[in-house]
Amino acid sequence: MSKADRTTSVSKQTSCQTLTPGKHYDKIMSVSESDFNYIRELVLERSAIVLEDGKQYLVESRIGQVVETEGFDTIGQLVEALRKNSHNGLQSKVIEALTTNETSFFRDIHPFEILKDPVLPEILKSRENTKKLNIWCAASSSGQEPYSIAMLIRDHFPALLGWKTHFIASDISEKMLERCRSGKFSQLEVNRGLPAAFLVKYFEKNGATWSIKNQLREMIHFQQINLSMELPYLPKMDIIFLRNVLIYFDIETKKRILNQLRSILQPDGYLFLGAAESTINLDSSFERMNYKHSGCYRLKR
Amino acid sequence: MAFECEAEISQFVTDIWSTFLSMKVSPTDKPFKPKGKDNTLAGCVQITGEWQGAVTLYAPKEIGKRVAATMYGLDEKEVDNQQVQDVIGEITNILAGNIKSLLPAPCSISLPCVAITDYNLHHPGSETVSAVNFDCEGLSILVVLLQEHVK
Amino acid sequence: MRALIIDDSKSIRTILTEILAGIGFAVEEAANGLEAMALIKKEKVDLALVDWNMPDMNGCEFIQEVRKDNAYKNMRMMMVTTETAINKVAEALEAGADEYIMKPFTREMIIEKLVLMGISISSAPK
Repeated sequence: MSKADRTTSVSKQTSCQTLTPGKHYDKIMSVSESDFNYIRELVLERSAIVLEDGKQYLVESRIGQVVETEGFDTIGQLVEALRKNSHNGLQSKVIEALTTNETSFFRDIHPFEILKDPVLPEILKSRENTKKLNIWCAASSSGQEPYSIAMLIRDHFPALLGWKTHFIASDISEKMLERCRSGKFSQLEVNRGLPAAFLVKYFEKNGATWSIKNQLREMIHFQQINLSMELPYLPKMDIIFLRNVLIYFDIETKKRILNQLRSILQPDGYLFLGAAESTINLDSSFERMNYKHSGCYRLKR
Repeated sequence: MAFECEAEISQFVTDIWSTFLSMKVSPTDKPFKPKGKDNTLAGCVQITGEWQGAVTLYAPKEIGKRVAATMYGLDEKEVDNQQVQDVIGEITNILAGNIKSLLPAPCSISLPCVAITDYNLHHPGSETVSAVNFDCEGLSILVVLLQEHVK
Repeated sequence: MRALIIDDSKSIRTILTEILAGIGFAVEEAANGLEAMALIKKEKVDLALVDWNMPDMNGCEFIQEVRKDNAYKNMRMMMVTTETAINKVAEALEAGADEYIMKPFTREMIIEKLVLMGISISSAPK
């Protein structure tokens, strides 16, 4: 078929739609160039996700819903409100709308980098005497997040494998937990955010299915937990991941959840929220660590 | 050894169409109907090694044009034959790469070739082990996995 | 930043070119390893996306060749291929690939991999 064509230099810019289509809403809204650029910068800064030119339609279809539920008439009005006030939760809703269903390994990368350095080395040092480490992934969904942490630990902190470790991954959905436990992923899923070296090291392939190796599955205890209810007994946690979850709850529930987390987080433990999330106006006992876009919090001393 | 992998093929084709082309396809029971003479594109990739055979994808030219238009960011009227053939070849190639993971290793796949046909590519000495029909925006696509007779 | 896309399929080159140009790369294309070798001798390339199965010189051979020459030690290379077996991924990494992605891919997948490769992505297209 195609002969090798001549090499050409290309710098043109056309739109190409190769992503998961978002929901479409009745009200078609258009986004102006300056508003698109504003949203693009916001999403890049807060979630490390890039919206290139040509993604206007994505912004239009997904933000359209936020515009409606928040009582605006146009995307322009919404962006104006965003520019005026960055801490009213609107930001988070916009980012969530644009990044939802984007489940990848090492999603947003920054929290995992922070985990690798300095969080885990620090904990390794301070827990040297007890050799106990407790981690909780509080919304593990289809499993990419807990397994990313497990791979990171196995690869960079093998010393921890000899410790007494409770690594709990929870979700509200028993169905999702079943998926997590199976450790099975499709090709499309392992194509997302997973370093190729980890794919080789930590996965097996049977037919078209990629299965995470038992040595990693066995590191994690999967348990059903409904965050909006009273928590079951859990050991004191050194690290809690609760990323892009609070967004789904109303303010009172958010406060209640953070209150519960505070009581089970070690005084020098770490809480990771989504990069676009915040404890501000919800719980004053947490302080945000000054780590780039990692959503990393700690209890005030 | 004959073996069936209709479910896997359905999944592969659906994934390729949805992620790569942002188009929807769904498996159907309706048999493939060539639309007029010389209007069908056939992409073919040979599999050699532990398992010998071929993956063939049949699609009407309209689909080829639609897919090429998406990929090249052009209007359907603007795409040329070579672009259409390249796209069908590459999709067959990706599909064959996916199907290979179901077959005994080691196997290798050939570079794709694409022909305009009356639909029935003749593969002497081979038999169909799996054939799945798809509906793509009202048009039909057929994927056939052929295995060479074991000598 | 200059990127080189090496694939014998014009369709794949077009799609990848759009993705990379959209995040600020100047993009060159080559249809096989030999063409690509000639190209990198003429111009500095920061990132190469490399198909495996191509006529003349295949992608894995290309990567091996590039890695032999210290002049290209800063070039990041990612395999973009229909080969989906674990031993193939291992073979590519062994040859010197920095990353590996299986077809079919999406724009998001490519960008996530670039981030893994330590390539900083600018949102503003040039």
